[in-house]
Amino acid sequence: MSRGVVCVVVSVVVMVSASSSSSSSASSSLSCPVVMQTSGQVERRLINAGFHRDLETTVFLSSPEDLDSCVVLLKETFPPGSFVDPHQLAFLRALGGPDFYVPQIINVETPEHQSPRVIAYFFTHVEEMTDGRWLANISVPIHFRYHRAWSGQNQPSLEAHVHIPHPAVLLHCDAGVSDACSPLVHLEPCPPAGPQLCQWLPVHTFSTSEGAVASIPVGNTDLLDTVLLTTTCLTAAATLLILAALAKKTPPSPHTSSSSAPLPPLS
Amino acid sequence: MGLGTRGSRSSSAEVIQVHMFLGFLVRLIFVSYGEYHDRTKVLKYTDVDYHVFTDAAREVVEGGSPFDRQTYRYTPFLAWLLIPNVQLNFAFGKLFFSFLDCCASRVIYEILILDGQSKITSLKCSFLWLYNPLVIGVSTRGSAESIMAVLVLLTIYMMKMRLHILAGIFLGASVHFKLYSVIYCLPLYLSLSSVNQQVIGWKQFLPNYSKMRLVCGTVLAFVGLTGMGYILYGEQYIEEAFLYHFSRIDTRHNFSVYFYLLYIGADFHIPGLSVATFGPQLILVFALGYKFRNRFDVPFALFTQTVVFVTFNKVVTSQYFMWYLLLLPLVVPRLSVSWQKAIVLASLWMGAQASWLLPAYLLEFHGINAFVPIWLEGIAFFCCNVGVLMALLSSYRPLPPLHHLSSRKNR
Repeated sequence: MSRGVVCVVVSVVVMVSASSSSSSSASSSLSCPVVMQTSGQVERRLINAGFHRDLETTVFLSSPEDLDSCVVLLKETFPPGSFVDPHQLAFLRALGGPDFYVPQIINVETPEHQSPRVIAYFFTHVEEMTDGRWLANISVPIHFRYHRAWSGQNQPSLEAHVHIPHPAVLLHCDAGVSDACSPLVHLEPCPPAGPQLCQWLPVHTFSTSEGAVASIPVGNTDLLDTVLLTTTCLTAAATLLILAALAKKTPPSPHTSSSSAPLPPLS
Repeated sequence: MGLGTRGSRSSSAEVIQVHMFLGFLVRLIFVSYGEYHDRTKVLKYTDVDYHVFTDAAREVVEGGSPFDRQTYRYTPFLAWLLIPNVQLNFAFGKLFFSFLDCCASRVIYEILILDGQSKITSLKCSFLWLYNPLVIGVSTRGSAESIMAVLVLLTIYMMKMRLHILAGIFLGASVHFKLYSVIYCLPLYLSLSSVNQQVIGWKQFLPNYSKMRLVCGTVLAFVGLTGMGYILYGEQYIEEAFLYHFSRIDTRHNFSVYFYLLYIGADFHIPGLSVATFGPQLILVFALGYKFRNRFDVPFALFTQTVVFVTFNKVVTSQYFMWYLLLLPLVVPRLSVSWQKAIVLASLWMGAQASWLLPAYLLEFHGINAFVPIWLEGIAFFCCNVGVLMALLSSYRPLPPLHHLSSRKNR
């Protein structure tokens, strides 16, 4: 009988502690307004056309907190068809561009199907707008890779689409992370350039679009036979033409003796 | 030889020095403009390679290897030379290349004087390099081709001066700096065949004292520099600076006639493609190097070899044109071409380049699918280059100039 009572008591204790922990996490979420009551509208667009463009990202943050002392992190995942050049970003940073951290080595020459995704972190501050929202805006140069050529018969458009998803938006404030918010912390690189990790709080984001899309031209493999034939015939013909011209050229003058060769000028 | 001759010799040296100074001043203006342009415009004036050099120099300053910088595929000593880019000013390298441009024009002048040309002709020919807008653009944008220009021209100058060990050292340094100059070994070696060795046949490949001095100098410089690079930076240096060039997988658009074939054929196995792409280049380089192996024809041999090497290469960028433009001033006095024909040929060459650049620009910066026009323009540019080469071959006078004895009195 005492065993049964112990089981009941243990069960009650377990149920009570479970309900109290869920209510405490619920209450901690509720008491972490930075996360629960902050939202961000992310809009982005690609400026210019072609293989080298600027990716402009604007985040409108609505928050009950004062974000003046906060740093915004835009965590980007660029698909294999695109990349940012860390050396170029470093050059731009010296001229007032955004702080960034790109942990991986970028090969700028490989085509899309031989390239990995690129993770990049961009740090910026926010400005308060007149309507009470906070604005974060950055523009970074983005480059697109050559894509595999394909058959124009199967896919007549001959354009590959590179879809750049919206970034994850996180906040890091001088005031630090309260105990209530600590279960929600993400560890990401510290501003301004990593690689040490800091505590960031995620921002719930939404957008009026799916992300930015770039159209990149590709070659047409249907032309391979024509191009192969033309190129090899042309280079072979040019080779024969030059060899024939050489054969017709008068034989080179015989070697002259050293006495008749031009002497160096006397100083 | 009296005071009059000495005076006119020193005045001709002063004239070239004045022009060297002016040439440097022009380049300084462009370098300054380039610095301003890069801060304000989207399309940058400075070449991407210059940033690569500077980043590699920064790696060296921080105690690392220049090859830690992605796409740095040059001699490590170039990064060393550009350490002031990091410690003094970003524009140091451009000014250094501009200075070397002026030195190159001086060497052109001296070679032509040694060749028996008049000082006026030598001066005008040196202007083809000193005041050439393509050359000014390339150096002031930060391309290091002027180093190659000085090394190759000094090789020829030393050959003219019969200083064969020094010629070999500059040749070895050239090959260390840019591999393509190894093609010059054949005509330079054969040009030292003595009177006793027959003009044709295998006997002219036999060594003699001069040839051995050239070979020793070349091997010493190449092995010395490359060996030092290997000791300092190991296999990474060999892979990036040498092996990469034999296994390039970058198929982005360029002037080469093979560009589109290599791009759309990348995923197909095409038997015999290597032979088709390397064969013509190899055959023509050997044929031209052998045909003009005479001592007086060596500059023309080097010039035509470089033209075919570049024209038939699998990748061609505008910097490669510098490789034969640096030799053009040396062969111009030997070409029996009228002014009008020269202008037509030059205009055709530049026009063919410009007509390729248009679809390339539309593709790269406007995203227009201009691959077929680029391919066709690549063919047109190839045909133009072959045509110009044929015209120069037919107009080249292989014999040494007859007036060299009288012109020496005027120096």
